[in-house]
Amino acid sequence: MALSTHTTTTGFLLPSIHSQAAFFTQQVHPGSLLTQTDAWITLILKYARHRRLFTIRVEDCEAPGNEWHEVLRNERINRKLLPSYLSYILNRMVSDKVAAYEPPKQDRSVLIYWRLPEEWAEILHEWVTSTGNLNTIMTFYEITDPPIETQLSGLPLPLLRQAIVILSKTNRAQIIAIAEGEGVRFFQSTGKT
Amino acid sequence: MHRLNGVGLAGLDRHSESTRSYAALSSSLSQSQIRHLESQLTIRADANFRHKFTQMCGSIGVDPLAGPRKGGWWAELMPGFGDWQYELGVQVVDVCVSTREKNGGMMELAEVVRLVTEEDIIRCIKTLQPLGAGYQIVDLGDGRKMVRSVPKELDSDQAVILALARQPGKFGKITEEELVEEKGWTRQRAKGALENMLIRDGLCWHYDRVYWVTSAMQWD
Repeated sequence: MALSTHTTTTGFLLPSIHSQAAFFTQQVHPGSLLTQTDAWITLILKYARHRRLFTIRVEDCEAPGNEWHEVLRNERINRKLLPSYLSYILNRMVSDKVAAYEPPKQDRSVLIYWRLPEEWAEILHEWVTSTGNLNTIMTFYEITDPPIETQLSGLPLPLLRQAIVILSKTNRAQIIAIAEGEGVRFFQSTGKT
Repeated sequence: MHRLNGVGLAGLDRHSESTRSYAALSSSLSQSQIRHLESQLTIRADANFRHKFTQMCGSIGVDPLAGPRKGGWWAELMPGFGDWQYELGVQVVDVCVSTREKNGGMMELAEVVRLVTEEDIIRCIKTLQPLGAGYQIVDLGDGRKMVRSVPKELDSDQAVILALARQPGKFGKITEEELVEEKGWTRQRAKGALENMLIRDGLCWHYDRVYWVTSAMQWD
């Protein structure tokens, strides 16, 4: 009966609030709702980082057995998040700039920024530099699906594209048309940012 | 002072010159004050003495911890805020210095919090009253006290609910039935009080007809 933390099968430590029945009900008082939604956003970002998940959909709280199952539901207290509240949470995440609707022009699915695009841009540039790939043309595939797993493995294309755009603003990357579609060339940091 | 400075580059130079001297003077003053303060505090003073000490510092415009500058925007807007910070600061110094022999100068934060006594906290909260944000100690009547930080009056029914929800085994959970059975309230009274706390005051969360008082909820 007492609220306590819980370690899931994937090794994620759920906070005590997750075993609070009311946590799954969208609260009416604006102050309560703000606090509650903040707690949900923190939880979603932490879990996404833990499992390297990049997408969450409103539908994820309905279909059982998906990758968000153990966060969006608590079977020990027989509660689950309702689609209407998850939709509200995703909207808040987008306005807080910790997520973006992807694809754009719909509001059922978001790309989660458990690292901001700016942070991905730096990680990308450091990786390219450390692997000696500066000034060579790379395909997007070579970055997101390298033979040996890296921090960038599995990075969704829209996020990769955003990171490259950020780097190109400081003249550290340039998108180039190549035979297979699109490629990118990275340059050394000029020191002028 | 501005009129004495004159205009042009020379005036600007003179101005920054005097700013520098003031800064040097103020830092040497604060350093000697800190040394003085430290020697005072090695004799463990009681809460009452500390209070008098900070009051005295305040009245002569001395900042005992060389903390936030006096007379700034905050001080003007919220008289009493500076005092509160000094008071808390002095208490922390006091606790740290008086236990230094035992812990070698390293102290767990939770231990500091424990040693700054309830009495000190109550006094601090009283000095926060000019903020007008509702800071007040609410006595639940069963030996427990809560700190209120919302500018709302807590009516007596709400106090009863808070006390009941915090009883061992309840974990913040409360229902209309419990209030009817355990407190002999009518159902309307119970419903009204709970709904006020839920919708008007944001003092509890709900799931169906079950309410949880947020001050008793566990988050982490």
